[in-house]
Amino acid sequence: MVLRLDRVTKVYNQFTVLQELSLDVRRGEFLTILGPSGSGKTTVLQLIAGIAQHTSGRLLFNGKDIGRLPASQRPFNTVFQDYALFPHMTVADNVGYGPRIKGMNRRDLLSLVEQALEHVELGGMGKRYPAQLSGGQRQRVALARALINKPSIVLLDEPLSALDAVLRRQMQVFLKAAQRSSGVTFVFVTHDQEEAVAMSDRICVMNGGRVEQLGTPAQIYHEPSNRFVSSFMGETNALSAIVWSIDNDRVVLRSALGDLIAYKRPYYAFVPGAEVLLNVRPESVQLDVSGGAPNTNRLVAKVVDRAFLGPNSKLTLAFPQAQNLHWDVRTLGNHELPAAAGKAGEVTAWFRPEDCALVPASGS
Amino acid sequence: MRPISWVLAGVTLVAFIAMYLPVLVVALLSFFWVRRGVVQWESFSFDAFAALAANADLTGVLTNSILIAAAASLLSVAVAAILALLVASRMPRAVVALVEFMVFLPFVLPPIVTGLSLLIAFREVGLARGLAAVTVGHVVVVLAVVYSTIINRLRALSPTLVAASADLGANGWQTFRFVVLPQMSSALVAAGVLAFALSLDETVVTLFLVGDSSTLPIRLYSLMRVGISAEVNALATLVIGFTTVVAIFAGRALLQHNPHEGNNA
Amino acid sequence: MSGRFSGATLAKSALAVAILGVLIVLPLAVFLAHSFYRMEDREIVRAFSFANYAELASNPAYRSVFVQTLWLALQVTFINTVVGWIVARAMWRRRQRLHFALILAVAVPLLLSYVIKIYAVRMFLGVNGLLNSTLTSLGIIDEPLGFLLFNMAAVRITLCVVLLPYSILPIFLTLERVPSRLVQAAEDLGASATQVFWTVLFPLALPGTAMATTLTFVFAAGDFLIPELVGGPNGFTLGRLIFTQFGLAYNWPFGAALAVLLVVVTLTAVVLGQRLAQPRWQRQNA
Ligand SMILES: Nc1ncnc2c1ncn2[C@@H]1O[C@H](COP(=O)(O)OP(=O)(O)O)[C@@H](O)[C@H]1O
Ligand SMILES: [Mg+2]
Repeated sequence: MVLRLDRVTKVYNQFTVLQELSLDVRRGEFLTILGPSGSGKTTVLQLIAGIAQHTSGRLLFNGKDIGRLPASQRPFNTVFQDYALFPHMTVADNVGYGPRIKGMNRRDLLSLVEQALEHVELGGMGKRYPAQLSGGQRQRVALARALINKPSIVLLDEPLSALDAVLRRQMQVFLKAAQRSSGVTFVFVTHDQEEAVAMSDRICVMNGGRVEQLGTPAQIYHEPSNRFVSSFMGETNALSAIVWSIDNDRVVLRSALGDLIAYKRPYYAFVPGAEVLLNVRPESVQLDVSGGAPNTNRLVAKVVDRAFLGPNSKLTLAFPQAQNLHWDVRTLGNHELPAAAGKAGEVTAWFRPEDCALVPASGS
Repeated sequence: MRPISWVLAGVTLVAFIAMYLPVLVVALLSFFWVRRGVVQWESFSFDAFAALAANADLTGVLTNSILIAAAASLLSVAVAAILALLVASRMPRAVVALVEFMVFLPFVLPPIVTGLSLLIAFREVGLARGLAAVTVGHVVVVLAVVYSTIINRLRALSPTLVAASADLGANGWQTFRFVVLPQMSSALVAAGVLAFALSLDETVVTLFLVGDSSTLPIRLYSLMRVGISAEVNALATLVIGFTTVVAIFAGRALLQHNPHEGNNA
Repeated sequence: MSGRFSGATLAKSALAVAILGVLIVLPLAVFLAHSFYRMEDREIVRAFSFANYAELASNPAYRSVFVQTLWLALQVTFINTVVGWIVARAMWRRRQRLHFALILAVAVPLLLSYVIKIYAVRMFLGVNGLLNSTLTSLGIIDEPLGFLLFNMAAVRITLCVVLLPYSILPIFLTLERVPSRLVQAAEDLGASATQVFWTVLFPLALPGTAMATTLTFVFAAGDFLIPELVGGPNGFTLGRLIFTQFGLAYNWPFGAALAVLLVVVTLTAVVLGQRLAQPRWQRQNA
């Protein structure tokens, strides 16, 4: 691992922004820090970059404490949210800023900058000023300006949030490719979970100045470790339940919808009697069309709403046993199906035991 | 700290001392005697102020200054408001550029040029030197500042409103009276206060136009030519105190209106 | 487009131009015309000639006053711009409370009566002034230093002191508007404090610097009160020369010609300042 934050705390005017936060960054990975606005993501980046100083804890780079090094002496470079390009310098001067500051001679600088601009597909734009560029182009100048210094880590603070949807997609692909080809470690901040899932090797979910979960996108999505992560990572259907019994690979649950069975994941530490929250993603809820559904996890429900979303449809289900409980279901293509099903719009829904995740009912 | 930082801090300190020490000395000398470079602390008295108060002539001078400042600020606000409304009402660009060039000319030119051009022009039209001539001179001098205060406010308003009010007709008049004017009023007051303050302190143009009358800065100037006296110190101290108090209050008011957006993160 | 030359627009334009024409342009035109007249037997002769300008160009006494004044103004501008930058940089990025106090500390001397500021500096420097009496009583000097007052050095010092707030404030205010993000970016890219200053702060605060230098230069080149009050016989400047033509010397046409020279210098400085205030990167974006 290249960088380690060891129980880092940051206090601003008696307000604790980061609380004993620990985080390891691995060499060459694309790590995303994901969290709602105000959760402390920018602060983490600023501490790493040296733009802000932590109150306590340690910041280890290759095992050495760099916590008191000024920003200018840390081998990291930042791509700021608003790009922070120097308006009075041309694109080429912006990109060449780092090497020029360190005294690189003109000829080397010129070819290096040329190369860097080619790399971000901005060849020939060197003479322009930042104000003459589009948002996506400025973004790429900012990236080139950071990458040209060959930093150990590039820190990116919500670099795509100012772009429109189409450009955003393009830049996601571009950034990911740039990270792959350069092999540089990226620490990327976003509040958009889809973006995080699409781009990252690992995701660190933050909330209220703490790390809620750290793992691969699949782990974070399918195996959330608490309520915050499960609800923050996209839509989910939640149901309160009590652990009834646990055997080798199954957890039997009691709930308002009857007995349900969940696949037992290795990290579960529940004991019988524990209050849990069962989570099933809308796309994991199946509708029984032909009556061939398995006997476990069968739910009789009523369709109370439907919305056509283009590639799929969203149905909202209500349950006779539980007032005020609504589940969403994604149906691919056959969204007209429930109209034909059962009497009075009744359908049978079910989900596989391995398609649900349990989190503790209490806690964040 | 590195040596260079010491030098920079030293220069800063010297700069503030240079801006304040002479003024403080004047204030000090209006209360105390100085003998051989040593302030005689036991000599504290208000004698200088008493002598100043007994000087009846000074009251007249002060009245002149205030009358001129009042007239000049009213006139300049009126003229500048008319100009600003005209400019804000869809005038051709070239005309706007011309008007603003002319307004800012006296601001850019050294006051001695403005002063003597008015002196020559007034003689050509037969306007004698005196308080009236000084008032017109002050209007010319402060017009640029007053105009830019008002036009900035107007440009912040909706252009269609201003355009509508600048059109003739009842509707335009009503827009002006009930929509534009209320929104302009604070800018008009601010511009007036500014004009008043600038006029009170105007010296160079006044010197050319004042003739046998006098205003406060002119009187100070002529007293200074004669020499340094306790009375002048007392007068200077009053002006210094007044300016400081006004600056503090104005600063407070301004800062409360637009609190500083801290970018010292 | 259709309304471009409508009657109302035309009338409004004419009104605005007329007001300013009478109030500002006409006096300047009359004054310009006078610079081409001449004096005979203490009467102005209204005959057009370049005699005044020829006299200006040929008489070495005037030329030396002109050069002396320009040199003085340049010195004052240089000193005050450097000092203004140092003070503004020291005031920059202070905590909020201190920030207000500092602005106020510069604004008070700025607002203070011009004549009183001159008076105070004169008093401070004067033969009987505090500086001399302090030095004497401390035994540092035996006799009051006469050279502190009534010469060109005194004019220079007084101009510097009186004009200092005019360079600090514009520089400080533009410095404040430089986004701290850009400073962070520069530091992040490896710039030292000195490099941040020269590559980011200084170029971005150039408009304020231009404003400061223009204000200071125009003021210093055209002022006559300060040389008049602290300059003595040696501290003779263009402003004073002009003033004498309207007093003792009583030669208005020649005074007008001298003033035209001052106007040319001033406008040149203003145009140069404008170019400095609008560097290439801003002109291109406009
Ligand atoms: N310079 C600062 N001074 C005081 N509080 C700050 C400062 N910077 C951030 N904070 C506070 O720290 C918290 C986290 O901020 P930030 O790291 O910017 O969150 P995020 O980037 O996740 O939106 C917020 O509550 C914010 O108000
Ligand atoms: Mg943020």
